[in-house]
Amino acid sequence: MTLGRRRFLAGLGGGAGALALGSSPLARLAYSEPGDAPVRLLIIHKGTGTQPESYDCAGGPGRGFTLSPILEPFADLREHMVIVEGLDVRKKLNTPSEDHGNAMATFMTGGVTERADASSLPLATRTSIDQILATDPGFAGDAPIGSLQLAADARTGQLFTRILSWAGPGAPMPAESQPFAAYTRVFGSLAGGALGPDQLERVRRRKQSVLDFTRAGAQRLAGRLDGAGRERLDRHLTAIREVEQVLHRTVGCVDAAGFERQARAVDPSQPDAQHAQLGRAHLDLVRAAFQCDLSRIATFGWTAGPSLVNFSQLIPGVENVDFHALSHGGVNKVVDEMLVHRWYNEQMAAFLRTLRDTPDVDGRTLLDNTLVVVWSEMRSGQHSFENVPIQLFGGAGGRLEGGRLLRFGGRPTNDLWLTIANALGHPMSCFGDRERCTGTLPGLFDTRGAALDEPSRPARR
Amino acid sequence: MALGRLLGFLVGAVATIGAACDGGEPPIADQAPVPARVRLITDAQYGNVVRDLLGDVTVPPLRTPGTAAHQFIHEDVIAVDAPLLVQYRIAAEVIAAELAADAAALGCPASDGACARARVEEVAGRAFRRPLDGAEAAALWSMFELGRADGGEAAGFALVIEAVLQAPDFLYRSELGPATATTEVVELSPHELAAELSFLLLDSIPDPALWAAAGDGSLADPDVLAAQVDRLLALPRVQDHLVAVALDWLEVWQVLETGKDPLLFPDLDPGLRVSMFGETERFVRDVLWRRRGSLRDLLGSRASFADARLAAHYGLPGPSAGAAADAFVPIDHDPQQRAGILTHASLLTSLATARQESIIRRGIFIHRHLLCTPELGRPPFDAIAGVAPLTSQLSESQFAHYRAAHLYCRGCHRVIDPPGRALHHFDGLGRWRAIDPIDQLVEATARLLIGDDVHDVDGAVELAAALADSEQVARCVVDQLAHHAFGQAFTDQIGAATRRGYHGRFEDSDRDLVDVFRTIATSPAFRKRHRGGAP
Repeated sequence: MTLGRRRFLAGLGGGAGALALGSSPLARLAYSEPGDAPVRLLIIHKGTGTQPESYDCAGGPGRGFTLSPILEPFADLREHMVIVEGLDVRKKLNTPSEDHGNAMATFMTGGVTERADASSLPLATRTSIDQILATDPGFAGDAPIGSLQLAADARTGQLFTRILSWAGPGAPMPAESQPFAAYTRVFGSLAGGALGPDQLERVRRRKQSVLDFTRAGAQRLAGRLDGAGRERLDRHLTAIREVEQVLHRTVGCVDAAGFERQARAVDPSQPDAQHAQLGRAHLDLVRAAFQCDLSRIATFGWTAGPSLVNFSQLIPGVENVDFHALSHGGVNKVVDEMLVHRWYNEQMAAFLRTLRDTPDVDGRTLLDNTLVVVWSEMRSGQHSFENVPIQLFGGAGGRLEGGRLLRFGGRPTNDLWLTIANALGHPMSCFGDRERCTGTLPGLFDTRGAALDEPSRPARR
Repeated sequence: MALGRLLGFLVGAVATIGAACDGGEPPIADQAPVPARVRLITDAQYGNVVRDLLGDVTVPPLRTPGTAAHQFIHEDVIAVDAPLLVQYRIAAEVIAAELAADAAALGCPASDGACARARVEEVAGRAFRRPLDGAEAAALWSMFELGRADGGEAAGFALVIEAVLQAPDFLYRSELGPATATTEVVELSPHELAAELSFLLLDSIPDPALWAAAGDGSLADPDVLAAQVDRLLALPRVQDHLVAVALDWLEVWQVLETGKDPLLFPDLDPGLRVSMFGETERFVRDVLWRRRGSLRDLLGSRASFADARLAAHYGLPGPSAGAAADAFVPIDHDPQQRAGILTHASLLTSLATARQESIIRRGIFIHRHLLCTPELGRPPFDAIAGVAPLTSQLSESQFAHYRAAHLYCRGCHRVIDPPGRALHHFDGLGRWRAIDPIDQLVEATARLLIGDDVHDVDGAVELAAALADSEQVARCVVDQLAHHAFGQAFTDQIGAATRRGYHGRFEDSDRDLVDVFRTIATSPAFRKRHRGGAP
């Protein structure tokens, strides 16, 4: 365990003492030095495009722009926000019935999907950006949970429209949509209880015996497999290791019991009526995982690409159909879509404020040390893939200057991840397919160097 | 070594090589089209196995990606990553907690260590679908002792179950063959074969008779295997499961969920949806188990079932006075109007939009499920938006004419639409009509392309006859059932010979859908696997 890690944990004693210490994170901040907190990355997907007329901001590029009606909920976070315009998802051509999933896979992995044969599923052929960083020790550090995949709504007709993270070619990492399961992954099943030290030790021994047995089985099976089957069992073994670490960890920097209450209070069987609460429960778990350095990377999806959430219960007056249907021609499409996108931004703004108000170990705020990327796989319900809506939030550890709108005419979204990865210390020279990568985006992080209003660059290196 | 024996050996070896070079030995892809692999069990199988092992316990709902309820083909692409492991863990802990609270769960007299140990090994072995090795048995027994020390024998048993239900040997189906195998094509072990058979037909672990045939190795004998298949096919539980498989294949359950505009369809309350589903479920059961599994009957028979509510919906006389209102009775549909499952209100209601019937959805359904037409995709959204001001003014039938006449639309819709047009006598709830919503006589003539053949049909009855007679439909149905059984599609490249064999047997059986399962389960492809990459 490194010194850095120890700062996040309240010791190994467990039980009430740890929680009491943890309830006062500020007390421990005194031990930390500025500037040595890790950077965290949260990628948030909000499907089904935007409503372009109400999304695009007047003015800019640079600092002089007026927030559009859809982005207005971020007004008080403006200095923590960078709006990125002009990036295109260069997805596989001519896939109308599979546009959402293909654009999502291309956005996250920089490549296109393939099928094993005509009747099988389309699967990504590359690793997604979050998994590249999650397997980079320089970024992921020794946080026990490599990365989190969470979602507010798992409903979909096509598996790949709910996948953000890809462990590698053909290896989707579906998100957890049940807050209690997500809570259990982050905190384990012992954190919120009131066990005495002896009892806790006995429970741990029993759980450890279960893990030892399952690990022996996984190792034996892995030894009989090669290729994709072997990789599958290796990932199973990694998951067993993660559960084991959770078992022996005492999370002291937040009150786990409060998160357990929240996770149990929301009802995943009501994905429409509880859409906000489900999203918030997951995002709050991300905040806890970031705050306690249990993980530095998370992807969160509000819905599948074609959103099946019916907003009529959430926003009075919005048509009583699922949002994907609405985006393809609702009765009051333009107004309804605007209201839905505003609603999402209000939810996200509320969450971002909690990051802003959470102190980090270095004396800055959690928002200062986090990069949040919010995106959609298409520009609008008409399935256009140019100039998709993207917003960045947070300071990325002092690397990103907020309060700006940047326009990059016609660059691929791959360049966004390349630029971010480089800024976060990953030395990649290209993200994804060569033909979908043209170089870093000037002026995004290197604020002082490049002009803010640089037009498009030629699409070659 | 005697010279004669050596010569005999050499001759034999040369003959083998010669056969391989001559093409006498079929290529690997035909001997064993399925690779040696592990497969994750489905959520339904998880629940079934737990209940088979432990009786009446509460099984928490799992949500493994790739296996939704009613999913006909399991999308087995997910690794047990941390989120999924946590789901399995939560489920195992809930089940274990219930067992720990039940002093009778172990089923042994108190302090009878030998009984407890035998019970632990029996339950774990059945869960893993194979006998435990010594190390596993010892590990599980020490877990039992650990749990027992903390909370008595029920707690010991609960801890064992908690581990067993998270063990890879439980969660993955092993299709690897014996550990000692070195050949490129391997035979599944008798225990693996028994598990494949029971997952196919029981959707669970082997029952005692099948487990015994695996245990004594006799299942490796093709005659014993065939007898086990026949025995299983006669079990009510297997018959129920295959009815469910057929209903999943045709997505009949959609009628229970599909969204409908309540202002346009005030009649469609949950009770009517259940009645619609009930008809088709009974019809499928009747076809599979009392009418020799006949695909022709499935597609062409007008003998069906209705309760009072559904009979009124069809405009038929219902059950006689005195019968319970929700009792289903045999009915005959009007021979001029309906034939087979495609004309059931259940499918016609779900193959529609929320507001009206849909020629396109009906057409696509028939192409996907009965004709196996390659997917034609969707038109670009700007193309639809461009003509929407005009086409939104058209009736469903006029819009179909528009698509047939429009040079761009016609490219795909001359294939997609015709089967849907032949069903145009039925409205969005499957009610028959002679006059359509714009007061015109319903037109239901269509020119179907089935393979290279052209069929001119008028209405649903002629459509059903053309489909029921079609060899392409027969092959398509068999291919889908094989895809379901193996989790892998056989094509012209992979498993072509196996596939041809299945098609031939299906015709020989006069298209008996139940016999397809018998054919698959007794075929070499079912018990053989190839090792080392794609064939």
